[in-house]
Formats: sequence, structure tokens, C-alpha cells
Amino acid sequence: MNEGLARRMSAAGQPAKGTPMLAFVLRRVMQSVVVLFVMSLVVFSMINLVGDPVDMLVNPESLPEEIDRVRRDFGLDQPVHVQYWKFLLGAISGDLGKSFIFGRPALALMAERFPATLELATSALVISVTVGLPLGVYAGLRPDGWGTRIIMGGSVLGISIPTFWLGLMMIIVFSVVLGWLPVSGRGETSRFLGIESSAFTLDGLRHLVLPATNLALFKIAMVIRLARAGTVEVMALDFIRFARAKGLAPRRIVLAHLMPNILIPIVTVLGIEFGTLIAFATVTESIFAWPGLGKLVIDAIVNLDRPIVVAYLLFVVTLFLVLNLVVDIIYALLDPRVRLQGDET
Amino acid sequence: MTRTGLLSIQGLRTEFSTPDGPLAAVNGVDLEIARGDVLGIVGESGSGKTVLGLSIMGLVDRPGRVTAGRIAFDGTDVTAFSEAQWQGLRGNRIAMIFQDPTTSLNPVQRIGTQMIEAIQAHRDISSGAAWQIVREAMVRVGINSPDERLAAYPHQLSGGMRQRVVIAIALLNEPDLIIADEPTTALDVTVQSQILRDMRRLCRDSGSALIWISHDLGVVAQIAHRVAVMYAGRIVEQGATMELLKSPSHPYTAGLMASMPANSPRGQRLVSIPGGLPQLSNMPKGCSFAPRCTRATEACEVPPDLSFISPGHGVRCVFPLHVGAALAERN
Amino acid sequence: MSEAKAVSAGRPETGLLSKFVRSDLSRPTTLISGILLLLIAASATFAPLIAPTDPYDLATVSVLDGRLAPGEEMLDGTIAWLGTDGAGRDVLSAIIFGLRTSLTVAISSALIALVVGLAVGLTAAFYGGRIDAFLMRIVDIQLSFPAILVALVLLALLGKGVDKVIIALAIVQWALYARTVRAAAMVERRKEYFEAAICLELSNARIIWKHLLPNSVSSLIVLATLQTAHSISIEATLSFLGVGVPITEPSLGSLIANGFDYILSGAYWITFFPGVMLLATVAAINVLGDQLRAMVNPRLSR
Repeated sequence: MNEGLARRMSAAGQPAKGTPMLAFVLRRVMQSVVVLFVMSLVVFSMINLVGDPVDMLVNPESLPEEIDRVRRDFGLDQPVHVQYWKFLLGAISGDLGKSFIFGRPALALMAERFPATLELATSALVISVTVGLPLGVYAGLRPDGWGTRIIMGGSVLGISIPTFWLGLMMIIVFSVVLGWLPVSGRGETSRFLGIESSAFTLDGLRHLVLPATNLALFKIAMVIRLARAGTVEVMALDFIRFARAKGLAPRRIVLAHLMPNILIPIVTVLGIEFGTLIAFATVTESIFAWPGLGKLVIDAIVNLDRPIVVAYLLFVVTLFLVLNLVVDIIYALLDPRVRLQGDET
Repeated sequence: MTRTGLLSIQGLRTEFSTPDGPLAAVNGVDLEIARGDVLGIVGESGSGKTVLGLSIMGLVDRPGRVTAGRIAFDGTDVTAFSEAQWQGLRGNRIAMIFQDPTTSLNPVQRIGTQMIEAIQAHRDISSGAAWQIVREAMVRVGINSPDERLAAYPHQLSGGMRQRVVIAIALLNEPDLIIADEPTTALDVTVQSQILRDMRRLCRDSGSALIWISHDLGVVAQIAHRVAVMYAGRIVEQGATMELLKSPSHPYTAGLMASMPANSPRGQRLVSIPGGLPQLSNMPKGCSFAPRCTRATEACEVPPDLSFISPGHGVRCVFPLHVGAALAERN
Repeated sequence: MSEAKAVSAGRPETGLLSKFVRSDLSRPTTLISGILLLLIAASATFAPLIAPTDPYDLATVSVLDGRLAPGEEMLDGTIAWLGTDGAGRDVLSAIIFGLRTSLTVAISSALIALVVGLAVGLTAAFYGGRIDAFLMRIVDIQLSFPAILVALVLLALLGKGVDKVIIALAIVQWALYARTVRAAAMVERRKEYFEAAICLELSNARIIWKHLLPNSVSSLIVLATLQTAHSISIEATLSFLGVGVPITEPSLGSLIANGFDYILSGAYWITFFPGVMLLATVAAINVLGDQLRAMVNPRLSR
């Protein structure tokens, strides 16, 4: 049905039989910290093998003394393990180093860019549910219909189609040929209920539509498949037949009986997938010049801006570890079968 | 006692299309039910009794379809009803109770909501008024502290309690006909007989007719005025309960009775009918019971017609049992 | 030997291919996908023979041919059916060569990942216990991150180059193979004859090779098919982002990236056609992969 869910059900990381919840959570948190530490070590040591960032920092015609001074300023003259130690000490106190390019703390830069990415990912999530859910339920209710064939064909296409290319095609169609929407960038933002977002202004929305749709595309296909599978499964159950025997209208059966039952797994999967949206935003942001985290890190990779790359990585790793942990805990709480099921080995 | 007709089924045929051609789960069934009547339908699982019930409700889903015959409910032919017309009938004038109470209720909705929606689907009534009706219905089926139960989710109730809720839902709109498909099989024996008694009382009180579908002739005998025995999609014998039990005429009915624990002497092995139901895809040409029947001859290779042993007691068998006895009695 | 035969008899993988050809090529979508894929593979393999021009021969490529629309004639008289890019390269030829790079990267990375995953999965299944738990924990952790992100990070660390992309994609994929192999092998492991084989003191290698491996073949074929499509996509995305294969050896992704600069001026064909080819390739493999999966595991086919 869906790999994320199946993966989760079979994952060896489920709490084993009889393990108290608190112990499970503590063990997982410890594991996460170890993973984070190992990641930082690997990333830090490997990144020092690629290129010399000083080349990017100074004018090629600079004097050797000038180059040495820059090297010292950024602490790049010291051995790698000393650099790592300093980084680690800094990281614990919330300092992930300064960007070579911007000369500002990496964390501050990321904090600046994060809202834009969050806005993009959230909009994509909303789009994927509002579009994917009805289509998937429809396909599940009418398994042999023409509409279903088109929807399912479309979802195969949606999974196959390279997102970034589709983004370009969207720009060509909607911005270049039709001229309806702006090509790139983030529009005007405004504050509403304490949230600063571009979704509250017309200009902002016009800028948001294409990238959010582009990012949502893959997830729409996923939601369609999940919703369809869930619908087929639930509609065959006795309580749906009993609801029909009560003489309820199909609308009521779908909204009150089908929906709540298929939403639980879909919401869970989407929760896990939110991390993937943030990750995939790197691609979408590059296409649409969306000033978010993803664009920041791609530029940093190209420009060998190590602190940004490392900080982004640690951020994403943390995000994923937290998301996974939360989902595992929720799962263990919701489903007694998962709680009782130890690792099969 | 004169009773006016409520449900009349003639030549009903319900088929399921498969890659190997259509299979008839219900194959030419005739039934008559009067108001307030209690009809038992007995048959092994796979005999088509559930599909028959669903056909009466208009709930046969694809790939299944009613392909022939006529169902008339209260004088109206419902065979060609639209989905909207069925909706007005279902749960309102005909209600159905399914076998497994643990799966008949939506696990994520409160009991109260599931009951109120059953009323509001058919009556324009405020939720407050509906709540009163629902409470009374709960009390009527023997559930104490209804408010507490109505606020509960299905998994917080026992199996017997859930089946009571389902029965209460079926009775909510005072239907003319209730179809109960093995509603007690999934329950403990003690709960079973309680529910059986309650159902009999509730139907008598409300004047609803009842179709009780079961594989257990003993259970049916306790509740039904009339019994129809189903085998491989056909009704092979039909008659008043007492008469049918006293003088079963179809060898299959006789076999069913012989296999009832109450009918065999203590300490003796239970008699069972050898063999099993024929495959729907590979039905015998004539009498479908012939391959398992000790009395079968070549004459059974032609589908047997319905013959009447006595008024109201019909049988589809070339060599019915007890006919001699019945005739002798009459003479 | 005899017991191995007895066990493998009646498994789906016996005659998987022949079954596939017989039963499923009759479906139109499958047939079209199959033919398409054959054409794609053939043109990638014989690229130098098929392509109208050699897009990387600097002697023949002329900037004067730049941005010709589809169907226009180049200076040397060749018709550029799909137009030319900014540097005057024939887009059709570039696509055929790009396909070659894309497929090379995807298939080599799939093979490496397959071998590594097979080794890890079988080890985990055979030894079980702590070794299994440890290996599968690594697999879990790796799989909890999206492939594109892991690949992006690896390339940020490794730098550009076809070999680097292959390594990165192999690292991205091995865990999936490992999990699949382990799951299939575990099924076999629980059977009684497995205990018997251990008691008979057959060599470990022999047990793994004869008993654990065969059971996972069919699911591996399916996984490898679908993963190839996936890694073609990832490679294209990486190259588009400028961290994948270098400009000197462009894949479909780099061709699309190359065309990105021209879309505002209306020269849509430079990005459009490579993208169509990318989509066709990925979709064809996905359709065939889904079909294979449905055959191997009929339960999922609905």
C-alpha cells in the first residue's frame, strides 16, 4: 500500500514487547543523539577533504599574506580535529560557526530563511491533501470508472515525472507564455495572527502558487494512492454496509464514516513526509529562486560555504530524528498491536 | 389470523459476474411474508441466504447484481428502484442486522452519533428530540444507563452490548420488516438466547415482520412461524415451523434435523450429511442436493418442481420423505 | 542440491521472465512501455551510430547554429528536428548521448547497491541476533532520510563527477536492497529445513547461496527495476542542481539545467525535449516494474 507506513510497521525500532514507554523514548533519544554526533563527525571530516574554501573567500590576485590572514580569521589554519573540537564546543552552546560568504552566524542565516521554507512546505502539504484526498477517495469509490483510470494514470505520471522539470514547464506555461504568474522569488509578506507569511497578500500568493504546487505534486500522487487504498479497504467493511442499511445518503457515509477512518493513516504518513517536503524544497527553491533554506544550502554547496552546509545538515538530521521519534511514539500509543509487537527476529 | 402481504419475492436470481462467467448465488427464490410474520431462513454458509437478505435490501454490490425476478415490498415493485429510492426504504421501512456486532459499528464514532444519524436520515427532527428517541430505544433493548453508553465508542462495549445497540438502531424507525442475518452467532450462548427472546418480544410489540437468517435450525425453530430451507441458492423446502419440524420432506431438511444435537440420543455420534455444498461454478444439472442424497436416482437429473405436501408446505424433491405418512394421515 | 531444487520448485521466480512475456506483454500499456524501453536502451547503447551529429565534437558544433527552433536546418545541412541549444548543439543528439550517461549512472549504481545490499541483507538474515539488529538499525536510520537529501549531502562532500554520482546513488540505495533481501531470506530461515541444513554442517556460504539467496531473487528484480527509475530521477535532479555529473559529460538532467537559462527567452525546446525523454524513460520503467511487482506479489496488484 504505502511504503512509509509498511516500513514503519516493520521497523526494528518499535518498542519491544513489554518495554515501558519512557524507557523506549529515552533509548530512542539517546540513539538520536549518537546518530547526530556520528553525522556531525562524518560530515565535518569529509567536507574538509573537498576543495579549499579560502579560494572562494579571497580575490585570486591577493597577496599570500592576505590569504594567510583570511585562513587564520576563519580558523582554517588549524588541524581538522582541532577545528572539529571547536565546532563541537560551539555547537553545544548553539553556535554553528560563521558563513564564509556572508560572514554571519550560520544559525542566524538559517533562522532567517526557515520561515520561507516552512511556508512553502506547509502550502504544499495543504495542496496535496485538498487535491489528493478527494481524487483518491473518488478513485476508491468507483474502482472501474473512467475518472479513476485518468486519476490513477495521472498519479503514475505524477510519481514518474521529474519534479524539477515540471517546475520549469510550469514557468514556461504560466509565466512566460500566459504571463499570469511571476517567474520567481517570494512576494510581499504580511503579518496575520502573529504569523509572517506571503500567503496573506495577493502578491505573495501569486508568487507562492507555482512553487507550492510544484512541491506538492509528488505528494498529491502519494495522497491519492493512500486515500484510494484506504477507501477500498474501509468501504468493504461491515460498518459501511450497516451504515448503508441504515439508509444514510452516500454523502454522509463518505464524510462521516469513511473519512475519519482513512484519515488516521494518511495524517500519520504525511507527518513523516513533512520532512521530505523540507528536503525536496531544496529543488523547488532552486527553480523558483525561493529565498528559503534549500536555496541557501545549494548555494553553500556550490560555493563551498562549509559552515552553512554543516549547519543545514545537522538541522535536517535533527528534524528527521525528531519527526521519526514523534511518529513512532504516536504510533505506539495509538495502536496496541504495534505496542505489543516485538521485533520478529 | 389473517395477515396482509408485506414482501413478495418471485423468481429472484442474484448473480455474481466472475472471469469464468456469471455465478448465481440466489437462483430462483420465491417467498411471501405477511405483516408481523417471522420467517426463518436456514442454510449452510454459502447457500445464498445472506445474498438473499442483501438482495431484499438492495445492497448487493458489484460484481453482484439481481438479474431476474421481482421483489415487491408493500405492493411496490422495488426491483428497479433507484439508489435514492432505496435510501428512503432502507433503515426506515426495512432494516437489517448483520452477523458480527463487533464490526457493524464505526470504530471512530460515538454510539449516540451513529444512532441519531439513523433517525435523521429519514425524519426531519432536531438532535435533541432524536436523542430522546435513541435513549428510549436503548432502554427497550435492555441497556441500562443509556446516556453513558451513547457517549461511548464501540470498542468500549461488550459484544452482546454492541449487538443490542445494532438491534436498537434497526428498530429506531419502526420498520415493517427486519432482516437479521445470524445476529447471535458471534455471541456467547447465554447472550444468544437472551437476544433471541428480546428480538421476538420487540417484533411482537412493534408489529414488524422478521426474517431470521441462520445456519442453525434449532435457533430458527425457537423464533420463526415459518421456515424456509435454502440449499445452493434455492429454497428446497418451506412450511410452517411445527409442521416442517414434525415431518421434514426434503432429504436435506431431514439431514439438518438429524444433525441437531438435541435430536440425537446421548452418547451417540452426531449424524452429519456427507459431502459439502456444490461449487456454484459446477452445479449439478438437476437437483443440486442429489450428489449428497441417499435417495437420488436418475430421475433427480432434472430440476425438481415445487410440490405441495400440504397447503403451505412446499418441497422441491422428486422423492420427498413422509409423503406417504402425510397422505395416510389425511385419508 | 536435491533439497534446494525441491524448495525452489513452484516459486514465482522460476520462469519469471517467460511468464512476464507470456501473460503481461499483452496489455497495451505494458507493451508500449516495453517497446519504448527497448528503443531507449538501444539508442543509448548505440548513441554514436544513431545520433545525427556528435554534440561534443567541438570541430563540428558551431555557435552560429545556436538556438535553432525544432525543424530548422543547421549550417552543415543537418536538420535539427528538436532544435539546437545555446551553443549550437543538436538537441536530439544531445538527448541520445545524455540518455547514455543517465542510464550508465543509474544501472551501475543499482548494481553496486545490489551487491552491497545483498551482502548486508544475507549477513543479517544468516547470523541474526545482534548483528542483524545492528545492521537493520543502520538501514532504518538511513532510510528515514529522503534519498535526494542523502545524495545531495554526499555529493557536497564528494564533489562532482560521474563516478562520484554513481557512488552517491549506490550509497543511497543499498539499504533498500539490504532490507528486501533480509526480509525474503528471513522467511526461508524460519523453515525447518534450514535448521536441518545447519545441523548437517553445510558450509555457511553454501547455505546462504543455496537457500537464503534464491528466495529473494524475484523481489530483488522488482526492486532493482523500480529503483533504476528512481535513481535516473535523482541523478537528473542532482545534475540539474549543479552537483551531479559535470557539464563535459551531460546527462538528461544537465541538459534540462542547460535549457533553464533559455526558458525566459522562449527557447522552450532546450529543456522540454530532454525532460520528455526523461519522463518517458522513468514512466516506462515504472510501468514495467509495477507489472512485475503485481506478478511477483499478486496481493498488491489491486
